[in-house]
Amino acid sequence: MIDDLAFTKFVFANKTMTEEEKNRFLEAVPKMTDKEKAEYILLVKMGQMADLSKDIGKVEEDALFSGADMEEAVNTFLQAKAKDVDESKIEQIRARLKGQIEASNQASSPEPKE
Amino acid sequence: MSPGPEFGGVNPDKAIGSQEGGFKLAGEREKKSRGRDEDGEDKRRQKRSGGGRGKGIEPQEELRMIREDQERRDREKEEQRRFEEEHREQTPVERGVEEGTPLAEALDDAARRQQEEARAAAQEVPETPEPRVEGGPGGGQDVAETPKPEPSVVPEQPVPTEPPRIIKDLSEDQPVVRDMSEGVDTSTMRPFSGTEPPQTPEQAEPVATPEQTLEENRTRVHDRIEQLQGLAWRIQGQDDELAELQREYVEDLGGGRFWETPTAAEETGQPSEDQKYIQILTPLLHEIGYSDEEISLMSAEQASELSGEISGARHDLFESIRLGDTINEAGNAWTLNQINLEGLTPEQVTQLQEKVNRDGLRAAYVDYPFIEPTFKFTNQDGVSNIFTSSDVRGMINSYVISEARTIVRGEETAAKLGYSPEDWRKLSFEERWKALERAETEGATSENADDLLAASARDLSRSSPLFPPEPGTPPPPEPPKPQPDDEDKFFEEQFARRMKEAKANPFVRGNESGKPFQPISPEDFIKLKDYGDLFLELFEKTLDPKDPLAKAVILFGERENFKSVEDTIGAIHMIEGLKASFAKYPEEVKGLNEIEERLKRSVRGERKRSLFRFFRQTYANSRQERFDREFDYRFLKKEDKVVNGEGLTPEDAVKDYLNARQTALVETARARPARPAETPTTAEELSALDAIAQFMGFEAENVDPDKMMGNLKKMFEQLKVGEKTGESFEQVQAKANKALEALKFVGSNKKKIALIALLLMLYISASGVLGVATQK
Repeated sequence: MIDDLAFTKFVFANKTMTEEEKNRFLEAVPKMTDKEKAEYILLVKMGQMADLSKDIGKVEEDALFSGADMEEAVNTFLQAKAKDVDESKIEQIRARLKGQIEASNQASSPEPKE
Repeated sequence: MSPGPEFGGVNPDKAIGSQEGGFKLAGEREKKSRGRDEDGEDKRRQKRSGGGRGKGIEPQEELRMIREDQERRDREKEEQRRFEEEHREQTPVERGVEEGTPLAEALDDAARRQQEEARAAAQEVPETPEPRVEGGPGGGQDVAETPKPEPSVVPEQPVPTEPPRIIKDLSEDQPVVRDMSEGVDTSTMRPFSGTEPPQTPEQAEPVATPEQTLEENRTRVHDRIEQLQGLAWRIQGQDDELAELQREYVEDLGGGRFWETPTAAEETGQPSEDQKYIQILTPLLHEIGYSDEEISLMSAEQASELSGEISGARHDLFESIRLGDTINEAGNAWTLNQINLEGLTPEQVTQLQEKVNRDGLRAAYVDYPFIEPTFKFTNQDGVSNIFTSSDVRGMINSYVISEARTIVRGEETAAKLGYSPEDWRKLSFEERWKALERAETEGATSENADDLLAASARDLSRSSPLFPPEPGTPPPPEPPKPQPDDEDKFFEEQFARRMKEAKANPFVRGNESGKPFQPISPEDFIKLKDYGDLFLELFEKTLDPKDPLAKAVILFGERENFKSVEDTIGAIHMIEGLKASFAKYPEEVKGLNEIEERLKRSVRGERKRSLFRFFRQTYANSRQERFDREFDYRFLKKEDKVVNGEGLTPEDAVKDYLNARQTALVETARARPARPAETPTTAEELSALDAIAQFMGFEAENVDPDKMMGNLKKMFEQLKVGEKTGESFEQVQAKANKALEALKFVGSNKKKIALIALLLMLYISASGVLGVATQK
């Protein structure tokens, strides 16, 4: 079960939305399934990847103008981006999923929905 | 100005090769006179010269013609192959014919062998139903395999030691065999009569009479000879047709320049009038770019055309190029006539045509770098010729050089008017250029160019403090006060802004090598621009204003204006030409040297290493980018996101898609009354989710595209897909594998990341990812 609050916080922190969009989103969150939330998270992350791709293009261009080595500049940028990632959260997700997998493996039948 | 009618044209009377075309064969088809009518005119060219692409052969039509030609040739090859297959076993007669043995000998040889066979047959068995007949399609037996009779059994037969004589007075009952092939008349021949085997009544019954057999064989041999000769002629005809096609191809490509060779001088050892004339023109031809070898192959007429008429043609050419290589534009002398469509599918041809129509040839050429466009030039007399893009570029080069020379020549004109070279020299280049420009605007021709130039020089002199006004002339109006150079200011500001922005980027502040930044200083930039103005002016007057080279000099570093290293190298070559023209003026040569050095440095990467890399990458990726767009189109069209058509970047398209998908999720949830019951998650599905989680943690893996690809592959392997779209797992996986395979061609991490994002999106689109993954 993906917590509604945690999910909302994640989305608001990672996606720029208008007030209207936020309201509609908040209205939808209580009705969304875990799968929908997971997909939404995935989509948000993919949007960040697209932004990342554009950012890389900008870094390349800046390197061009400043006379710096383009490849090195891009690598520096990506390394800095990597540092921004909260790895602990990723680990949390992994651990939770792993736990779910193990629990699922142990269960002889699907667990009933709460 | 317009080139003369003979400009680079093809004189049909001098075109090499038979215009009748081919050979008339006995028993064979008449060779088609492809592409030429009875007057020897090239039909294809006539059609093309109908004016513009719209009236010429369309690419599809051209493609169809090429395909039909190819099919026809294939058919003939197959026919020939079958024929040869059927007659693989050569008879001695055939060999004799091929080896040049006289027909009589060949016939004699055949007769002798037949006689031997008949003799052997007679000795073997009376019950032999048919005499052995050598040769013939699929029949008979090789002579070498014929069992030789025992000498003791076979009676001695007279063996002729000399070739049989041909007896001309045939008896009336002798059947006449007329060879239908040219040059061979067998009507006066008769079978060899001195080697008939002994005839007995017993032998005569089961087998045909020797005369009959001989006649039969001879007819067969004649048929074979005829077939062979027909085949030979057909091959010859094909060769001739091929040669003609090659000539047409050369004509199409080069405009028919080099196929006249002077011979008079070679015979006499003395230079002919033509050669003397060519010698005079040789420096100019060198300047245009022709080698000594090429010049040696020119006739005087062609040399004259090239050296003289180019000066007229270049203006029209320049106008057309400057207008953006548009096609079917009224009044344009130059039109895109034909491109090499080899290797393109009909769909690609259509796309290319649309691209050309929509964005112009130059844009199309960027997208389809492998095409070789040709331009048709039709002069005022309606005479057309076709040039390749290389020709066009060469002529542009010569145009630049020639115009520079014209400016220099203005000095001579000024001298004629009484001005010293020094005074003329003191005029700025711009002033001299403007003089030339004015002269051109007023309709300079080869006849009045000097006069107009002189008039312009006088105009300039009146407004120039360097030249005293002529007595009695009114004082010239006050020259306009120099205005602040807004353009300079603009560029300076633009440069400063961009530099500041770039320097503010924290990721480009340093590099591991520790080398200090060496950006272009504003001083250098302005200095460069000063010379660049001259350079740019020349370029802008000769090339498409959008040409990257023109902009490159001023906007050094503006990425969208750099198309390729080749362009930069082309600029260097062009500067070398300019330097030759300005050899007498060290100051300008110095400036040109500086520009050249900068361009070379950028190419070498000594100072602008990254710039060069960008050039190289851009050049190398030109096809890749096209692939990317197609890739985007293919994977986004499901959502009606035509990236290329809408001018979106792949990133924009991805974002659009993602946003739409997110909105759909939200709206779907909002529309439902309450949260539906969760479907239990299986271990398999959770494993897939885990893979996704790992994938999404790619940043922690320091953006390793290979690892990302590995994760992606894992996802495809683990997730159940296709249940919603109706596609099988194999179908989606095949699609994914194809896309993954394509990633090998992606050079940069940036591209890989973008494409991986697209792949993931494809995956979502195809399977609903988590929805399917977590549903039983």
